[in-house]
Amino acid sequence: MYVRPVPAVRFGLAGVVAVVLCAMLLGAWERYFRGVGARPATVNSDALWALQRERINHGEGDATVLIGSSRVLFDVQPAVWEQLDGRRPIQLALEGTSAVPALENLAADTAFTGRLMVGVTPPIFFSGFAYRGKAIADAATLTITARAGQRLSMHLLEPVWAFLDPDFALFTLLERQDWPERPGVHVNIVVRKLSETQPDRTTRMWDRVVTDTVYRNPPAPSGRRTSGRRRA
Amino acid sequence: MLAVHYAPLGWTVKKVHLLIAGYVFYAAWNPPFVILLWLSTVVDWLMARKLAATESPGPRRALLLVSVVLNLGMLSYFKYGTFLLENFTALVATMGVQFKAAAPSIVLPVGISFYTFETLSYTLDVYLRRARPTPKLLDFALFVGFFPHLVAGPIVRPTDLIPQFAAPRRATGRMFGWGLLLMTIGLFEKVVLADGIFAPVSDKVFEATQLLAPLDAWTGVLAFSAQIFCDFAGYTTTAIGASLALGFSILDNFRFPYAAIGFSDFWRRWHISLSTWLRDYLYIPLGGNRKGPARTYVNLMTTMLLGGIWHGASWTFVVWGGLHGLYLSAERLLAARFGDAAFWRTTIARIGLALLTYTMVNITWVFFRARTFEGAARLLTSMLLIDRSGKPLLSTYLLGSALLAVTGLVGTHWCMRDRELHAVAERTSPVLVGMAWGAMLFLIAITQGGSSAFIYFQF
Repeated sequence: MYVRPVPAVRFGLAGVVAVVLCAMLLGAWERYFRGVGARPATVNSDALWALQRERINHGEGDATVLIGSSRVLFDVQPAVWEQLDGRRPIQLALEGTSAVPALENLAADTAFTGRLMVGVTPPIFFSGFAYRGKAIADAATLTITARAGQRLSMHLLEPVWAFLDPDFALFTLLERQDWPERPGVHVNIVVRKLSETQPDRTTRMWDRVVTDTVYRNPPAPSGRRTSGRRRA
Repeated sequence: MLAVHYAPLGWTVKKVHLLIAGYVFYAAWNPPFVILLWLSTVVDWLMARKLAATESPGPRRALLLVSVVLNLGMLSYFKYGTFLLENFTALVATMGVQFKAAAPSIVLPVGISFYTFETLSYTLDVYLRRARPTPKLLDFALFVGFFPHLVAGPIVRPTDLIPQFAAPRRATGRMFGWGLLLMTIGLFEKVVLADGIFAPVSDKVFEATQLLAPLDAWTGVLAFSAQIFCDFAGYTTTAIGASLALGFSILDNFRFPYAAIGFSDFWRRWHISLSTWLRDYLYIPLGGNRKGPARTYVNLMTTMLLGGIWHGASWTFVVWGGLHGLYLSAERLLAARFGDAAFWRTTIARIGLALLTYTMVNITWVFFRARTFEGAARLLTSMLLIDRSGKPLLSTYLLGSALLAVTGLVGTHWCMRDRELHAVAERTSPVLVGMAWGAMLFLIAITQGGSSAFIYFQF
């Protein structure tokens, strides 16, 4: 019978050092991002979209649903809508994504009997470009584990930590630094943090995009093309 | 789970709790497929009991056949059903017969390749009289459904794990601490290294449809070699750590394979539980190296080809296995002819052989990762400088980060080649261990990890 060797290390002390160091580093990391204006918000993930989509099959099939790209996603004010209409709409718009896949998805669902507001951004709508298309494709196969992970994250972690934003992930930040350009390889600077999302996918433009003109229109770094257009 | 495991409850209650936890863990992916787990468990437990009680060779073979047919039948249907149908359709089409089957929609149950091999090794060991069957169905069911190794191995032997269920197991403080640290190391390998650094580069290169510059092609393949190691070793290290935190010991599955000198050495360091399973239940029963040189090479090729197909229903995996079979055969042939020369024991020869081994292994990874032979051929054309007109694809950041990290990984393998991780930890001050531990936890948190599954979940 195999018995795994265990090192004679003072794991209690090592564990304390680990927790303290990790806490200090995380605290500093969080403080930095709060300092640049970030606030805790819900991550606009594929699983979040799936949870909102599921509301239609869980008793809200007669709801008003919003689909389209970022012009329907950013800064629609559901609270005002609710005042006027009596019910908050379900927000299923996906940035940079044609409304057609979501339209087909809902058309095929007999549980949906409500109103659909379709945002049409012509270049995206008619081209079928689907930057977030995977969210729609994967929604039907969201596993129990993925669902549980999403709920744990959005209720326990995301409301606390501002750095928990895909735009602030370590390797995303590293990739977006001003690295020397390699001949023959053009790197478009990907649009950085644009928005903040709530658990029901209510999304608003990040304050800094509105107020900070340098952030909104950064000068082109040496030799790199910037993407002149924001993702819709 | 820990609260129940360390509560003042009877050992049987705790084992039932572990078993239920394993089934819940498995069902979290797709609940109906737990039935397959039960089927494999119950049939093999019954067959093994009958095997032990039967002396006549004929009935014993029949009982073994039931187990083999059930396990390999399940595996064949779920894993190779679509592949067999597609190839059958293609084959009859070459004879002018247009056969159109209904579009198959077979979902591959997670971990089926692993637990069918584990239950099969149980009945084989009983048949070969290497082990007695366990009298307790609970212990056998727990052996199969023990959650740390359930979905992606290691392929644990019943003789290694079942005896551990005989008496109450609890981790000492040190076992628990080491288990947690191993889990952290495993998560670090998966989240930070595999997904954070290597996967973006590997995916970009392997998904390209144009000919790439040689530097980009090589970087993508090296990145994949690092990704698959960190992903798979990350999973098994986490599994080993979780088991240890509960008081159980599982064997290592990797031993710094990218410091291997020669291909036999590589297979003693890479996916050890699979290579030893294939050795004990396929290569040796076929005759191993005991039936002359020609038969030895046939046995080696057969074993490695089947090892390749075990990974997936695709001809690219067969080629991957076949290449390793060729490498092992060539190594055997050359070692027999030239292996006695003192030169091969010098440092420069060892380094040269190690680099050659690593390079040749990377050639095989092209087939392992590429979705089609066309894609593999395109990459190899560039890597082997047959056509150098390919265009660069990777940015400075992706190129630099991947190459730096791969160098670090291979360098670490070299330093640890003849060492054990626990021995290194023991010689290090607990403050330094803690600092490394804390840094890994911090990097895991800020990498933020997506929802990408472990690569070996698909096998």
